[in-house]
Amino acid sequence: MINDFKLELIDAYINKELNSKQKIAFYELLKTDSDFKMLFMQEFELHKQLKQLKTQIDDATKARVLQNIYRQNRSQAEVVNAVKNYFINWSLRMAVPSPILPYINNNILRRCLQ
Amino acid sequence: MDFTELYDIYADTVYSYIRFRIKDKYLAEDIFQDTFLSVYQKATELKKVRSVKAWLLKIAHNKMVDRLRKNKDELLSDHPAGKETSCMHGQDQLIDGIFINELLNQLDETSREIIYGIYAEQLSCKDMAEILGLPEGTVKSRSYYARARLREWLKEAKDND
Repeated sequence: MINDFKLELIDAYINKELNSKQKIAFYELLKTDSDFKMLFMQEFELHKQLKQLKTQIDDATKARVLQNIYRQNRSQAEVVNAVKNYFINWSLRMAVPSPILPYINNNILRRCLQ
Repeated sequence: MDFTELYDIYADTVYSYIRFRIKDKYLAEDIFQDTFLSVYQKATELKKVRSVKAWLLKIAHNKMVDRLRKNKDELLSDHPAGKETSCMHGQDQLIDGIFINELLNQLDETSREIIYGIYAEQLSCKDMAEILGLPEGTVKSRSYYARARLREWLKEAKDND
């Protein structure tokens, strides 16, 4: 019967989580306990094989997804600002004759509207 | 850690975890994007998490479960061993990958996910419990039996060679 402690010890060794003292104890156990040695060999093989199942995302998809996330997350303030600016510009175009429009100070009008 | 940095470090881990279960590449990418979108929106929670990897995979897991409710056929991937940009190289490793994949397919879905987390992602039972939303004791016992079965099958396969 294999106990949890032995499995956890093997995982810790394979995942490089043991300190020097623990490593010495681990090697000692490998030498003296043949069942532990067998268990270690099998587990080592499983770790090696299952790591190969990992896949990687291709660079183009990775970059595209990141751009999509940023696009979808434009802050609400940005959206409100865009709507506000659109409304101001539209009001200006409606209220002021077009030849004068470039001379109007946008900021002053914006403050008036707010 | 800012979002871009987090994304750079963990994109492969999250994608690989999703691809392990989802056979449709485009659906997997969709879930991947959904996952990181949630991560972006929950960025303030990041300071409180015990393990970043477990937290990310938990979000990915929940997104997959949501999709499972909508369309079960798209899930339960026969893992694309040797396809895409798998980390495997060479014929022997490809055969090993297919073999291990066959073994994994004999386990139930939850056990398979636990096994993937423990071996491929080096996660603890505590992490896997957090990801799957199961009690740690349940994950421990399931991993214990699943690992024992894998070792047994591996031994049988070696003996038959």
